[in-house]
Amino acid sequence: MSFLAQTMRQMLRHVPNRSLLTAGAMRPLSISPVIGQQNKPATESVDLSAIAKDQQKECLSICERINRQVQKSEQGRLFAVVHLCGKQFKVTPGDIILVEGYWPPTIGDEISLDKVLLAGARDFTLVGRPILEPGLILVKATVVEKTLSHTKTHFRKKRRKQYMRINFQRSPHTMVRINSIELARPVDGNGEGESSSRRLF
Amino acid sequence: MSAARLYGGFRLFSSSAVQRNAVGGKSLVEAVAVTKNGRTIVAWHPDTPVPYENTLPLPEISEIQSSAVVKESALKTAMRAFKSKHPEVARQELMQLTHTTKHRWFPRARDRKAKQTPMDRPYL
Repeated sequence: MSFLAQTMRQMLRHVPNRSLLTAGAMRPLSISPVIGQQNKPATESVDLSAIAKDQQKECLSICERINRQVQKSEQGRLFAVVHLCGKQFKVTPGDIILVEGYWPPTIGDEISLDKVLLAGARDFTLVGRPILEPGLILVKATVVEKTLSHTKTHFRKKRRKQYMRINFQRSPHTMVRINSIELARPVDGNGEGESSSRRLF
Repeated sequence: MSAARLYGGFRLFSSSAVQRNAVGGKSLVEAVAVTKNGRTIVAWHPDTPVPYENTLPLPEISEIQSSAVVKESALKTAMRAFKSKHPEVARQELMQLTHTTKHRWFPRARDRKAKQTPMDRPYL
């Protein structure tokens, strides 16, 4: 709303100039190129820096509100949307994720899920573009079980051709327990910008 | 960050009247912001408590008394009476009991097919 208000104020200041020029030319019904040229400075004179500063102040106030709530530990339980092995999971502390297929970590390994797409609490939500900054949200998990899925049958038959095949297959399953989801540092912190270059995504 | 980058990267986020909830209720997200480096979008949506006057009690779930137990036990008793006998003898007795011909008491292939059986694993 403030953006619209400022734009209207900027435009209103230039309306008298147009009326003066029209009165001086004594030709109210004609559209002269002089008036056409006069319209261009009106758009250029809109103060973009003032609008940007206003927006930045609003953004800063929201970030400060969130940081204040996190300092008091009033945000409640966090949830996160993580990207793991080609799939996206919405996780909260205590959840168990099932990773299908071969996966190198073994039972007892403690891992950190770095590709956090979105994180939220009761009163706020952080959305990544496309992922949140590395180190902003810490999602820690532990591999608790490695097992096989139930037996799946692959049955093929061709009638009157003496052809029949049954293959049994069980795919590896890995159970991952989510231990904790924490907001590691303030939302608008500028640190750790360089550490992202060391990661392989 | 510069103003040009601010406008070029994404559209402005503001809680204006246009973005109000169309249903008529309060807007869920109170404010949306972007961090300084532009890599995180922050949404602020405080939890609004529901006043007690706007609530209603849960509907009561009444237990419906059904006599399926009796039917099931009677049916099981009847089935058990004929199970241990020879099929021909059972067929003869069933014909006399129900005053019908013997053909309907022959086994049918369509009764052996699985019909709406529950899943043997909870995740299927």
